[in-house]
Amino acid sequence: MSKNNNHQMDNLFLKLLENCISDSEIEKLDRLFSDNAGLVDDYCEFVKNYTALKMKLSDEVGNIDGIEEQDVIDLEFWRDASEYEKNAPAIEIEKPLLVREPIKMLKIEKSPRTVNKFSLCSAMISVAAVIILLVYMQYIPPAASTVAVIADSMNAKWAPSEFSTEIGGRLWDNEGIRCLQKGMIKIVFNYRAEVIIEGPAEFELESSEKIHLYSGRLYATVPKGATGFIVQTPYSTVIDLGTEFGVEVDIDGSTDVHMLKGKASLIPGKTGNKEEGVGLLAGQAKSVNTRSKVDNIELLENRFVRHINSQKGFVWRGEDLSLTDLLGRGNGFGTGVPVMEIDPLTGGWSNRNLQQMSREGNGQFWQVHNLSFVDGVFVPNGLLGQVQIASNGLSFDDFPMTSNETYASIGTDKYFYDHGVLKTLTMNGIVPDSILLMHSNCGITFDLNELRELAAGRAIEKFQAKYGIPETVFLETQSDKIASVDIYVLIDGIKERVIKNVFYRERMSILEIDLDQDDRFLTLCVTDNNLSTRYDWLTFIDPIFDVE
Amino acid sequence: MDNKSTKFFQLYASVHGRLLSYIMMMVHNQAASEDLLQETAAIMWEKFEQFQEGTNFSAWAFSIARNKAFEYLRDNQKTKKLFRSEFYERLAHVAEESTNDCSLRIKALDVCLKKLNGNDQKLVDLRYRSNVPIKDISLKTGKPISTLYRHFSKIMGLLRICISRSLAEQDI
Repeated sequence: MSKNNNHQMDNLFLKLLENCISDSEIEKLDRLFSDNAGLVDDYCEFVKNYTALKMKLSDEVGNIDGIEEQDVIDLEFWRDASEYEKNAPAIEIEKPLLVREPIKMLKIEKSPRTVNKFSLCSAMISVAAVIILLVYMQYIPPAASTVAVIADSMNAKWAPSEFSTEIGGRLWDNEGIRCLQKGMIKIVFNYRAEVIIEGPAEFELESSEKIHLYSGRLYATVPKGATGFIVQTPYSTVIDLGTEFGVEVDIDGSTDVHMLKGKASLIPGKTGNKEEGVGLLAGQAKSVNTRSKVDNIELLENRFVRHINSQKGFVWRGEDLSLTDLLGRGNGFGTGVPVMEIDPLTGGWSNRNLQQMSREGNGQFWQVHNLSFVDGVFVPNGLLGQVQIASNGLSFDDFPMTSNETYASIGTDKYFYDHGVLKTLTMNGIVPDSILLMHSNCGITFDLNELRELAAGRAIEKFQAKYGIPETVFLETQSDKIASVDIYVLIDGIKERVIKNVFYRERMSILEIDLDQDDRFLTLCVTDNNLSTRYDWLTFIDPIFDVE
Repeated sequence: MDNKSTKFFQLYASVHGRLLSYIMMMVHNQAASEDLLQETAAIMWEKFEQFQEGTNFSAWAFSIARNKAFEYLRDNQKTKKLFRSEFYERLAHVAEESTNDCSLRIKALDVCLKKLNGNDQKLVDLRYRSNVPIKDISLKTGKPISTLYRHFSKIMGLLRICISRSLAEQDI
């Protein structure tokens, strides 16, 4: 095959493996594979090199935050790229290194950059190298190897305190037991396992594939393809099979293991024991006591810190983001003010009780400047044709005609006045924990990109809430049908769900909206469905965003 | 670690890289390959009791991986454009026979990568060590994605020549 043909095939193979190939290119490849049997060998060769490249480089520690300034490719380089491509220099091959194989392997073992598992495996199966290594180690203490780097930390303090907690700081395998007095630290092992340790904790990094936790809590996220990461505790060993799990070791050494995703093997007993491992599946939790007895325990999903982002001050234990708390300027986990309101006629935010007053809509979209993730609010009226629903000019033209009257602000207050009487909002006899109250003829649009920012880049998978009209807003003498609304849910201006005729005295229903990572605007809008806003207290109960 | 685990992970480590290559050849997708490798490892662990010591661990592992790969191809044939089935039948055998030099290939790569020019090394580093998406590299350099792919293909071509020479000199 000519050089050009080779180049063309490499290009097609690469695009195929990186999922960037067009249908027509696949058809072309298919024809070529069919016509030329030898091409399958070329393809296999390409994949072997590609996989080896990825395995080699991903086994080494890379930049954590993606492109950094020093990584920017010299633009001058591209001016000569095509010329360079035509005259690609031949690559010289050095003399085979196998002549000095035993010594070379020894050097690899010593190197601080030695993270390649496969080189180690090769070394281990080479009897000559092992013998030399053992003899060598009798006389010279082993050199330290970098086994992990600090990827992030929050309020972390070591004891003794001279250890660094800086991002990018390297951790070695012969440092002995480390004591994290307080705070949290995220470590990325060369083996690619990520571990978040919460202080106080005592642990030791034994290798790029193994951590020994003597006391405290850690959460391990082991990516696919890095199977076999080990967490050793005083009375058990957890061997990962591609998982996310939390391990907590009490001061007496007893251990709880909570399996959030995937599978692992839990082996009770001290290191080196001969007991059989037990399987641990997602959703299970087990405890190993000081006599190595294994018991099932309740899975605690929100027990362990699973994600930290010091720049955003974000700490995530697997909880959902509470919309009510976010609206109260909280972090989504309970730090916001309990009562707030947004005026749908101005976009103004305040932490006072709900305003209640009939007012006419002004046909405008109002940005909410106090909350980054709330794009804005509006009063819907289909009679006006297109209604702007987002700050980028996005509009929706299928709202029904409404009375164009709005009665209350959008808010989170569970108390309200009804004919001068202060009432508590209840649903099915229960006062909900958190609510978003949207009296008819108001709409609110959330900016999901900003929400993802607040969640430190985590994916937002779903919006979920129960909804209904609370029983306490209604005068017994009125007809049940007076209080009735329609709910519109839009994603990027497209109708996602329309729920017609939500009446008083109906049971609460559940609203679940799946969100894609490309979705930008989520709009919730409540309209009167009988040109009357009387008693239309539509309430979203426990509204949350599901974080992945 | 207990005996079973020690034995399993020793054997698994010896085939891990080859299995990944093999699955990748079959399903042409990095993320899916890693998923399938994880599932293969889990099945191997669960069925390890059935594996008879002294028999061919590699063949046993590849048979599980082959089944997983075909299962994936079956499940995805409706949504993903695939090659005709004869290709996969042929590939299954060629691929299985030709994945026996993984660790030596990685060793050869170590030398070959250093022979690339500085800019190519930076590109490879960005893309495959730091896992920067190609579209982000495109944004940063102002070069179209198609140009970048052509350039990466050129780099892969250089590495192919270098690796094959290196392996040949080691009589692999």
